[in-house]
Amino acid sequence: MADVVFVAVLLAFFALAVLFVAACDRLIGPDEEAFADRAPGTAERERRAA
Amino acid sequence: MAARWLELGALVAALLVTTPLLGGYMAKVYDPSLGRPRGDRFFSAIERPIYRLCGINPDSEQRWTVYTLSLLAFSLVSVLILYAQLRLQGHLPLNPDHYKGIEAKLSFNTAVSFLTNTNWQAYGDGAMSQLSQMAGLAFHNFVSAAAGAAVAVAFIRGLTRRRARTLGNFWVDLVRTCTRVLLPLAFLAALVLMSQGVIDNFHASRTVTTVAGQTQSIPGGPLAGQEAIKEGGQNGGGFFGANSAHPFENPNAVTSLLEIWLMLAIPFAFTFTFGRMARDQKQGWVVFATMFVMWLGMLLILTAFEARGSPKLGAAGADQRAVATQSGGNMEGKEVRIGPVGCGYFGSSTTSTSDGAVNCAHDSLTPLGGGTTMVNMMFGEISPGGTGSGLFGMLIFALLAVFIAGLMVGRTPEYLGKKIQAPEMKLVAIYILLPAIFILAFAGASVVVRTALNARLNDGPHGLSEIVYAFTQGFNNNGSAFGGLSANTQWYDTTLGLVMLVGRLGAMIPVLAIAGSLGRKRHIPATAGTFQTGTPLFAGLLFGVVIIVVGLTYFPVVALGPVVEHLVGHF
Repeated sequence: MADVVFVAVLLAFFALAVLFVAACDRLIGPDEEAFADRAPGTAERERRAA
Repeated sequence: MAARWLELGALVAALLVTTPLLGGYMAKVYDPSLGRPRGDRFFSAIERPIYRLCGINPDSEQRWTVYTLSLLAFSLVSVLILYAQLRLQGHLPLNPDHYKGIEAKLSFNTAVSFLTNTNWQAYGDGAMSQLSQMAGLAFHNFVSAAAGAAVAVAFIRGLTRRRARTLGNFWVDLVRTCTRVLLPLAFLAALVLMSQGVIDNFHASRTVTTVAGQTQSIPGGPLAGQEAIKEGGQNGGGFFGANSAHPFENPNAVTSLLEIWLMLAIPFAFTFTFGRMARDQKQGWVVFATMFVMWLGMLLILTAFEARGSPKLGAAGADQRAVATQSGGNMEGKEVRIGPVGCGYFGSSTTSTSDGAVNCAHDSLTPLGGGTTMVNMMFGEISPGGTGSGLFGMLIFALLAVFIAGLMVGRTPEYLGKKIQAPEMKLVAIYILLPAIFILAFAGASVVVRTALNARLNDGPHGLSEIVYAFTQGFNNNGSAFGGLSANTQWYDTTLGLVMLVGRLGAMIPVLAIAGSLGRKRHIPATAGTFQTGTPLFAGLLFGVVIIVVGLTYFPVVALGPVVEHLVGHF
């Protein structure tokens, strides 16, 4: 019985961690929003400049 | 005493030499655009079959969410396997002493402890089979440290990449850290340790008759390899309960110095790696200097408290003077060969890093000496902290420092040419609030739960220190024991297990989210109004921010524990 409880505790923690990842991702916003202001070919130019 | 100053000088010199050497090598390991690292062909030949076997495409990169989910998936699978292994060790091979399976609550605590790089040992001597030690605990000594390094590298990439959607590949970073950094370092260190008398065999315990005619049980086991990664990966879980006070783990002054260097080498080297990957070495040296000042300062404070001695022992008639035949100082809980200075060096270094190995009883330190070790951990293991975790912890404080500087001058804060905006600051706030919430809440609950309170050895402020120390080390994944507290109870096994999980994986999630957010941003060229972060002024600001945040969070509980004990006990 104790084994079931501790394994369940671990699974619950990792499930909450996945939800936390989703919440953090929502907080920083989608990639599309962050890249919305980019002109075509910008990435390649920036990579070369770096 | 001169020998002890010489020892400290040798340690500092070794760190100053190895930080750029090791850090420069690590930078090439994690960023191939900096050049081919040494042994690339040899290590690639080892890594390729691992990638093929695990279905990893080493050329692919992951978005921060995928990187984080890979970390979580790896952690979940490995903790379940370790839990099962500990429960079933009585039926598994390499168990010459016929140890039974570990009970459920202790297996949970131990599996979580080694997964999270805490390596808190609620189990005592005579519990773990050799298979559990090698394939369970020592395996996690490598991979838990490598996971910390992977997160740090991803964080550096987030800070330094421009308009990038990805942070690297978690599996590649994990494998490379093990094969190219930890294994070679542990292999070389194990050879030196064995040459100095650290044992490494597969013997069961042997009963021998001593010169005095008594019988004594002499344990055996594969120690040297585990000892090397125990220190090199900032794990700290010893083969024996006595840890580095045991002569089989730490037989002489050479091994003592080597073990302290091993604790500090990779965390300090990561600052150089950061500077190299940022293409701005000053940034790395600023972080190094801040960490170094904190580590050395706390080391000298702890050593001074212990070398001064204990008025309690003096009142009881003990001679605490330093003379030719004894080292003097507070010798309670210390081996004669180690003494208060050796304990101060080791104890402060082990709590400044996330190592947690001990060579003396921290419960027997003077009140303010014990408080010093506690405050080291309350800093958040950033001076210099664990493998990778020390660097990203300090860089989180760096983001807070530039935010505060930005508020003072009325500019949007920037760090390494990246604007630090509301989402990043919210995540920084979560990272900084998490330890305060979990350490103080669980320590507070332990003071009112009767079974938790009864597990203390001492009443009054020292008892409070025992409880606070346990949760502080747990959240910060240190693993050292203040002693005194009977931690193998339902309450402490379970709550400390949860605190360790949140302290490790819960704290890594906002770190990787910040990296994901910053990696997407464009680089802002520096102007005359940009706050320079590669200067001594910024190092001072960073140091001040750490002291203020940690002071405001923990001062009340430190005052009620070690400070009250010092004042009331007339130390």
